[in-house]
Amino acid sequence: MRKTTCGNMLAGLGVAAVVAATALATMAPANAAGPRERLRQGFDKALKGKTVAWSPVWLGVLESEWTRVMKSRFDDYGIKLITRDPNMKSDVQLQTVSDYINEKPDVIVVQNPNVTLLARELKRAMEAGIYVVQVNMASNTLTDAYVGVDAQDLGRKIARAVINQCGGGKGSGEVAILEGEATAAYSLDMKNGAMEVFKTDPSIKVVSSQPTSWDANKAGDITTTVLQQHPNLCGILSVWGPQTAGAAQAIKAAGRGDKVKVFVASDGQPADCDLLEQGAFTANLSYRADVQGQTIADAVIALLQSGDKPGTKHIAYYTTPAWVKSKDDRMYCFSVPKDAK
Amino acid sequence: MKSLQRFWHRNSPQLFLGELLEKRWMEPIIPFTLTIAVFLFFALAIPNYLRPSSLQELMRNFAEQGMVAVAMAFSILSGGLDLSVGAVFAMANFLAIYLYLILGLPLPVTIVLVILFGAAMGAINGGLIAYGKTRPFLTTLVVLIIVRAAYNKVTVAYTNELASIDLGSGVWDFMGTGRILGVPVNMAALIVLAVSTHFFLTRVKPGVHIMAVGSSRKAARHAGVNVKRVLFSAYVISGSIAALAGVFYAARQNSSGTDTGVGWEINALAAVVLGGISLAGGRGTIARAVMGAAIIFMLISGMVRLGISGNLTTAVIGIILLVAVGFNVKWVKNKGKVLQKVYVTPSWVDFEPPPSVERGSGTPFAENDRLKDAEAIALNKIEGPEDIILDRKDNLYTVNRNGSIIRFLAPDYEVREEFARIGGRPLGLAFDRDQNLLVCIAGMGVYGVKPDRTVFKVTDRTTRTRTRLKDDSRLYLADDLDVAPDGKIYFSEASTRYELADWALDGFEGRGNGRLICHDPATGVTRTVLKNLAFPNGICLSHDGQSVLWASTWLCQINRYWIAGPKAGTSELLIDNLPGYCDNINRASDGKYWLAFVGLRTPVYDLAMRNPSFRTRMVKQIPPDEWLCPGINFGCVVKFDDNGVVTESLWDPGGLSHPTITSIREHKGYLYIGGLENNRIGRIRLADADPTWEAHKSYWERA
Amino acid sequence: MSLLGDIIDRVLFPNREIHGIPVLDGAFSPNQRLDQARRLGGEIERPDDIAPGPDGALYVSTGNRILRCTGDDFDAREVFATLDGPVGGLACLPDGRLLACVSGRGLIALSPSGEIVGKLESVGGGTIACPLSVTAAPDGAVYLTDGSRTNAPELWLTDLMQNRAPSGRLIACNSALGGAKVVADRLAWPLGVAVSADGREIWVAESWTHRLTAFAPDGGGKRIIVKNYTGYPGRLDRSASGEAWMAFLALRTQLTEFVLRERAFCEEMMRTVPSELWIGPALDGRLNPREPTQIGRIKKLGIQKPWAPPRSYGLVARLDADGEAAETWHSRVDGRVHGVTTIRRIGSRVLAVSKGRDCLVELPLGRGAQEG
Repeated sequence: MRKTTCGNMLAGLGVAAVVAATALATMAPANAAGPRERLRQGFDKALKGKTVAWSPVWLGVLESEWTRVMKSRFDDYGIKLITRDPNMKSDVQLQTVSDYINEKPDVIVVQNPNVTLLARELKRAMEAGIYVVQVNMASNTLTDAYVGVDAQDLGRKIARAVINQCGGGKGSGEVAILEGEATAAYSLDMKNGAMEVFKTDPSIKVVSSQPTSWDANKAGDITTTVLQQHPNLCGILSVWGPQTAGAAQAIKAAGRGDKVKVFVASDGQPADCDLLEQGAFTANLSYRADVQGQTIADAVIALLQSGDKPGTKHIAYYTTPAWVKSKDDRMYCFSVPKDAK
Repeated sequence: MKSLQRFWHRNSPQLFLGELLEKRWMEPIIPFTLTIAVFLFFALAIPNYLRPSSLQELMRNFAEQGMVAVAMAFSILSGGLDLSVGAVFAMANFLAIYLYLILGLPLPVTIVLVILFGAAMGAINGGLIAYGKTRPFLTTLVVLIIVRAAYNKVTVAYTNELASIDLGSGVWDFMGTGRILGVPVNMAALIVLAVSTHFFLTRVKPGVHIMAVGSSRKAARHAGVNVKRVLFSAYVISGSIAALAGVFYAARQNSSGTDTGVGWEINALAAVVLGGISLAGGRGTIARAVMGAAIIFMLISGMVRLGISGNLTTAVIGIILLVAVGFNVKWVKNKGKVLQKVYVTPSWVDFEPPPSVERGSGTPFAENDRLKDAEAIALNKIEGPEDIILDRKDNLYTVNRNGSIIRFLAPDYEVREEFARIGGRPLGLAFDRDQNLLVCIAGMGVYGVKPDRTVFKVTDRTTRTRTRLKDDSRLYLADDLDVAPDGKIYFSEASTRYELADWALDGFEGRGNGRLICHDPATGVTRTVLKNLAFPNGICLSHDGQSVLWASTWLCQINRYWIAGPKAGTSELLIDNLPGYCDNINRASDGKYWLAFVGLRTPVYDLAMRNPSFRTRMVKQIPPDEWLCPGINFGCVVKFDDNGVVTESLWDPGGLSHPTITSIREHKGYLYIGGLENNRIGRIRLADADPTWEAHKSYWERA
Repeated sequence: MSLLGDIIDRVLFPNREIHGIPVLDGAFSPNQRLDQARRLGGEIERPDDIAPGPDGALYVSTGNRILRCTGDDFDAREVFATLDGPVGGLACLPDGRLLACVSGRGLIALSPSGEIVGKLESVGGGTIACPLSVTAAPDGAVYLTDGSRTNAPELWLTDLMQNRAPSGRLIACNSALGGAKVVADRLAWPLGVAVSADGREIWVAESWTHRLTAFAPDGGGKRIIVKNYTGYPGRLDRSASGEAWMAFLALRTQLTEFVLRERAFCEEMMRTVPSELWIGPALDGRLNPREPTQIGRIKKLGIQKPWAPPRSYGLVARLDADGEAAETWHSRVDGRVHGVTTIRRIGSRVLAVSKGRDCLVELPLGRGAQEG
């Protein structure tokens, strides 16, 4: 394997040398390129005609925003973006990533449905000479770049906000956690981060922690049950905005809107800010998907220009979240441009 | 132009299609074609789809779904349904990961335990259904819900463990990602599974019993099958296979998500139905279930690879499945009807106007009253005497439509006895040198009856036509025969495409569907002498024994096939454009030949024979009773000589006593008349005939 | 292609009218009662219509002649008139004049002594070349039907097989055969015509469209009474009590309907084959060895099946005041009274002529004669 890679690289170098020589020869007469032109030439050489294969869990609002931003950037640089939507079917996504590896793009951008599913394939991808960028939901395999939230830190921050309102006698101290997909890094790490903080405060009692599969209906069902079993519930910590809409609905249906506080981590979808403004959410720790999209593009660009062998470095690009607590914080939600659809 | 059209109608591709549809292996044609079509579509639509690595990925991702479909097929073939396969599969997937990767049990132990789990779930299903007599749908639905709920509980309970598992060992990884001869391990397992279960269901007793119980529980019970045990075993097998699929899935995915196995029972069910396996049970094969699963799998993965949005994919797959399943169900149900509509392929037959049969027209065919006063023998004691023959003691032999040979005893033919019972539909008769009675039997072949009444088979098959799809080695419709001086038996097979009851359809085709066949008793060899003959019917050895005369019913011709002399092996047309449809030919005492007209040509039918598409539409659009057919309510008898000149005719005007004349036999100054659909044998005295002449002498006592 | 068209039709017009052949059931259930009809007198060569005279005699049209029949069984017959064309429909006026439809000539009025006393040869400038039936209304009006603009009455089968756009007419005139006007046009061989007892409606039976229609005397108020018969309706008769009688020429068959659709074949058949050997309905049902045969008609063990597809058939029906069949008399495929062109109630008796079998018959009435 290694040998062939070396061989390929040598061949690549050879080709590059020939190309460079030809380029020099053709450019010789207009040999007036200054340092800034050379910068741009190097940039184009590294990026033009490259292919990025993108495997989201599905194409929801969040993923579509990422895709939109990436595409507009990549189009600008002459990078080709391939997107395939497994529609939340993990077996189909595994297959998609396997297919990508066979098709040998330059970069694979992947959002892991859980920490184990793609671990082996991502390793294989890097061995095959493909850069791998993981987005927001990492796997057990470290890859060239990670773009997204520090989920554990996010969990800790929200947990502290929960304690502020429900702990220390300010509330009953009963807290429920709504996970996403239990083994997805984003959900798993956020929950673990929150639990870490909750354990430090004896007034807090986590009465339930259940996965919702990112599904608002399921979150609503779980919330209804929890509310019945724990009439004194003070707060709900939910790892993701859209699923929490169902929980908020259940709280409203149970007539507990004023008593139960909802804390949520959000990718800044417009609907999340709407719900907060309507009072359905108490506080929303928001990072913006469009910003993340830019960062993913940046990470890809950086990798393509780095010249590193895939798998040699593991760079993280953590997104900084911000609290949305009122209408004034609307800028922490993104808005989808009208002509994006 | 006209000849081109004629050529087209003679060799219409419809002919091929019709015979193709008749084949039994055409039943799964829809799923098979669909599989190929879907594969080809994506091979064209997706670049590099056919690259080995791509194909390997396809197979690897498909295998478990195929296994679950096989599991589902088992339950459905047994006449039930197993909705719990998806949940059992998911749970098995979790168990495999848990036992092997988390608890660290040895891999073989893990596999055995997981399959035991599947078998146990199957045992619950099977036990309730077989012994508790619960309904399969509800029972397996409940098991599905319970197992699924348990799965959700345990995956939540072991979240951290599941999240932190390391990649497994070599054998585990080999199961997940390895290849055997280039085929992914799980696909190889599916192939082995499919082949062995197919073998099991078709060749091994307990498997055959599952099919038997599926087709008819009652009949199986009557046949001594332990229905309950068989049903139980079917579900146990189904559960075990689902669990096996879970193990392979675990090795491949190393993860146990909330979506694992969700909806797989529906996909499996759709695959099975798409493969054309009857939901009523008992009909279908494992291969068809796998084909159905392959179609669904290729559609989903192909559409994802084409970059189609997930929701659209789901919707499109739903619609495609609905249409395909609907079409397939219709196809399985209506294949017979389609075959019926496609099978009949009329050809172009051009007729000249025939000689007149009008009374007083002066032709030898002119209508007269010579049969009007025929004496009725065996009136209402015989049903359908297609042919008649007399032995040396003047006893009268004839065939009955119930498959027996009837003898009426000389001299008054009042005593009726069943001479032999063979079965089928006996038609033409002949005596050989040893006075064995030879008989052509539609649907069976050529048989003989010795004077002591013992029945023996002469032949029932001939050489197969290699270029034809349809196996025509079996004799389909042996019609008439005669024996040559050297003992060889020449007989006609009227059609290789239709049975006797469908003679009219053969007539609509008017194509050479029949054959002239020769059987040599000395060597036991049967071979086809002439083929592509249009309903060859009557067969008669010429008086000189040098040639065989044979009649083509639909073309209204008499032909001569030379078996001896300088022209041996060649065939020639003796009489063309007769005004009636020729049936049997027999020798007359004056050195000429008697010929029966089974019916008369009608101008409208002749016109229809020039219009193949008219006949095709007629067969398709109106019911069989209403079809236009040759005018076989009016027959007559004519006499012709070796030069092909017709000299006289004998009529029963209006066909009152003898509407359909298929046979005539001269014997000692009398002419005996038989008819395929008649209730009597007629007899008239021939005034100018030799009263001592009998056929046996003419055949065997010549110098 | 036809299959596709059929599917499209089914999808787009689920309630479209399908003019298929109705099954003989209900009041039309087959029986053998027409075969039990009593023959009156000897053979009459191809009788077409009958009309009772005010003097108690029965007038019968046959060939170019009209017979005057008297006696209890109308077996004393004399030639009443000989005309210069085949005679069809007849009707007697209360004043004793006899109206007769003469092929190629029009309507002719004969005095009781058999002299021509009136003619109606054209209407609106066009000739009446195909007069089929005539009837007199209580108010003195005379209604005449003209079968087609292209064929004479003898060529009824040609007219059917040509399958042209209907060109028959219902014509009204006064009792002096004057003031003729077309009441209704574009009728498909209107062989049956009868006036209701109150004179308010004229019922017309169209043979080729297999239906019974009512018109007001001014041509308005068209009302379809029965839209689809199994057979080809023939003449109508209506008595004062309101009941009506209808004869049927023959039954429709799937093969005939099929050939009617197969225009090319049908035209070639008409061009090259004598008409008595065509596929199509026949009146006589006598055997012609060269006529077309259908599978269902093949004799089995010497027996002709009564339910075989009929080339000819005998069928008459009694209709109630609403035009619905109340009772029918059949002579099936193996029967003897085929091709009935006319049926009329004469006093308490019901007489019919079988043009196919050259006879005048009296129907057995009452339930007693009905077969199970």
